[in-house]
Amino acid sequence: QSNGSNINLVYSTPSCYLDALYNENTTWPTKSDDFFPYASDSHTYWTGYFTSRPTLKGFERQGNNLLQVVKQFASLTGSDRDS
Amino acid sequence: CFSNPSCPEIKPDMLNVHLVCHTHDDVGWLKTVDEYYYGSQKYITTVGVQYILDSVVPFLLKDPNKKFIYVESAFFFRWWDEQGDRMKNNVKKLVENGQLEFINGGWCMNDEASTHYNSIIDQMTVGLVRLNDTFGPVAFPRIGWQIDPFGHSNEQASLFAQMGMDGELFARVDYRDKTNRWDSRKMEMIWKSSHSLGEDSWIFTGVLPHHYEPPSGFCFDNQCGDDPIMDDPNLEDYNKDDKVRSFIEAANYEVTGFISNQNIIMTMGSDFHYVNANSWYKNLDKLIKYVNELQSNGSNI
Repeated sequence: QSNGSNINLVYSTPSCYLDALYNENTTWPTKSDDFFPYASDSHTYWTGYFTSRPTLKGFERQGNNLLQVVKQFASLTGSDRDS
Repeated sequence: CFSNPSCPEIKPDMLNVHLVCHTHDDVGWLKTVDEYYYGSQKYITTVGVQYILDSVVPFLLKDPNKKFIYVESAFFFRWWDEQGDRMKNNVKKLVENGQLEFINGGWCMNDEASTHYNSIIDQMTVGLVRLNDTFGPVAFPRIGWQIDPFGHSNEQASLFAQMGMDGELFARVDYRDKTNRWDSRKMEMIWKSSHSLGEDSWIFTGVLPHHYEPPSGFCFDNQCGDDPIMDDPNLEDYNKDDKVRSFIEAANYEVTGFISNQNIIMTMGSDFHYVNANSWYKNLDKLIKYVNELQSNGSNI
């Protein structure tokens, strides 16, 4: 029916794909705002997880604070260096 | 930046389809991190990340054209620490020649809505430093790979840009935004992600065409329902011509949503795929062979 295809299939990686796009010298559209909120369908907004498991979310923030303190103390006392 | 030396040859007068073999390995979800690693608690799901890396590496060693990307350092280093010197040396070779490419490279693929930028930097650093210590700068990821997070923040893109990434790719954007982008060929863009940093925060950003999965009919993992490519005309279930035809249709459809008509990407993998890498690579080998054969022969299907 058709004579020949113009498709070239290759094993690749995302960085090889980006290199190939880069070599085409295309002008891209721009964007400067974010991609929130995410809706996968009508009446399906994925915004519940902004607040789900509030205790766990609180623990993570406290853990982050503590980690920064520990890092600073480790740095001051030299205990962050490999022996 | 380090360039992957094993990148395929691009044919400028053709539509080059970049098949990206990948596995999306959640660092804890329906099972814990360690349950996912070993593959325990099979009543929830049978997958185990240790088997994925065991299974993929021999295929890469056997065939220099094959590639694989790996994303979550939390899993990779659980596996790496269990390997002997011989395997470690083999994997180092695969990383150096570009067949095994680290993408994202953080300890995990972090959420972008509820995370603090301080914690994002810390978790990325844990993964990236370990990769650097193990493989050197050759392993430094060039792409922020946020294929599953539910929405995307300016700050995440800005952080990737400041870490030296060349691009960010993801799948989940608002369904109407995606339709509009497809219709106006704006699936890929330059994201000017920070107003204060200006050009230092600009980063190439791409919305993937088909979630982070292969086009319909071409999911060859053991977990998928799609048929393999059955190419012996003497057997009852011969489907090679149909498969080739519908793949060409899928590629020609995908190109309508993107600016480029020379290069498109297809993500060949999904959640915890490649536990049996053979079922993927064997069928992709056939697909590549039969589709590319049409370039010279002319098709009679």
